[in-house]
Parts: sequence; C-alpha cells; structure tokens
Amino acid sequence: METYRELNLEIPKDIESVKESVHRFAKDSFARRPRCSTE
Amino acid sequence: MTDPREVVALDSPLRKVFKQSYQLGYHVAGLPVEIGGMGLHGLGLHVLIEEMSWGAVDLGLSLLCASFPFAAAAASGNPELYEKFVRPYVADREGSMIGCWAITEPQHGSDELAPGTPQFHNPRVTGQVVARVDGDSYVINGQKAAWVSNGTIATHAALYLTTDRKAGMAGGGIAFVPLNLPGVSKGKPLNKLGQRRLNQGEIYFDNVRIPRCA
Repeated sequence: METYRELNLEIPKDIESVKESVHRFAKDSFARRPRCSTE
Repeated sequence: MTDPREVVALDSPLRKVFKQSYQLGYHVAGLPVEIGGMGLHGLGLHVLIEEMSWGAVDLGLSLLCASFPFAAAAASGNPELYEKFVRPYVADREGSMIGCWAITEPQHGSDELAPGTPQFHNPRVTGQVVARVDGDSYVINGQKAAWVSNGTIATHAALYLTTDRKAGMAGGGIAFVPLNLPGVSKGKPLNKLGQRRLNQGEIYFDNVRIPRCA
C-alpha cells in the first residue's frame, strides 16, 4: 500500500499545516530514536 | 522488555502522549467542526494517521482507535449519546476518555466487516458476544478476544454484538457501551513481541445491561 508521499499527492495548504503540526508532535513526543548506528 | 502493565500505567509515557494528543485536539480529528472537531476526512485524515504512524505505528493506531466509539456516537445523531458521551469527549484534554473498537472474538476476527461474502449470512459463522432483549434493555454476555485494540485501557467501546445467531454475522449490530457498567471486566494487557505501545486485551461481559433506545 502506497503512502501519500509515495503517491506524490498534492497536499492542500490547510492539510499541509495539519501535516506539519502532527509530524512535529510525533517527532517530539514519541518517534523512535535509533538505538544504535550502523555507520 | 517493559511489563505491558507498566506500558499503560497512569504515570507512563504512553499516558503523557495521550494527554498531549488530546490537548492538541487530535482525538477529535475526524469529528465535524460544528461539534468541536477538526473536521478532517479523506486525505486530511489519512495524512494525520500516516504522520502519527511515522512516529510509531502502534501508538498511532492506539490514538486513532481511541476515537472510534465517540465518532460513531456522533454520527448516530442520537442526542442523548451526544450530550452524555460525545460532548465530554470533545472537551477532554486529559486523555481520560479512551475508546476501543471491540470486534474480534476468540473464534473469529473482524468478520462482521465482510457483508458482501456468502459467509456473512452463514449461521455456522456467528459472534460470541450476544445481546438479548429484556424489556427496555439489551443484556450482553460473552467475551471479546485479546486482540481488542485499547482493550484494557478503554473507558468506552464500539461493541460489535450478535442479536440473531441464525443470521450469522449479519445478525448483529454495534452498540456504544461505557466500560464501567456492572458486569464488565477486563483481562491483562497482552504481552507481545512487537507493537507494544498498542494496548490490547480481552473484555468480558456478564449480564451487562444497556438501554435499547440509546
């Protein structure tokens, strides 16, 4: 199943702001940090 | 690994994320603007879910499921359900009202969602949580499986019920059920290898009574 990114959809401006705020929430609050680096 | 009971403890990081999500209003993302929701649907709702899942697919699913019974109650148009449950849910900024989607049972999965199949009408394929009419009430008995998302932390359920076993999966419906009613009990949080931030667990119904009209 494709993600909206993979589908390359055009995101309307009002949804773009929701996308940015939800992404920030996920990143700051609960996104997994890599436990170790392979580099 | 952390004990699944600690994952969902009241002072756990998961509860703090729930509270943050409710304070940001994401718990009402799919509810209409007219009743205090964000009014997202289609692509907007898809983007919100995908961004949450980018952070953690298990937690994103848990946050999404939390709204199911309240969104269903809002869509029902029933004023009593709205005043008693939807309005307080919309106003919740603590993450104290958590919904679950109670469909899976020990002997079947989400079969109630397959109305276009011949099996849907097969009386040999039927639900195990049964509601029978008793005066002005439905009386509910049975068990939901350990795979109910938000099962042990939920305060309210969109509960899939069987009312007529002869009709198979077609012989049922969905009820909005507060999970603090007498006769409701829950199992232990399911201990899983993955998606551990998605709480899952059984819910048991022992002569649980709900009104027929609401």
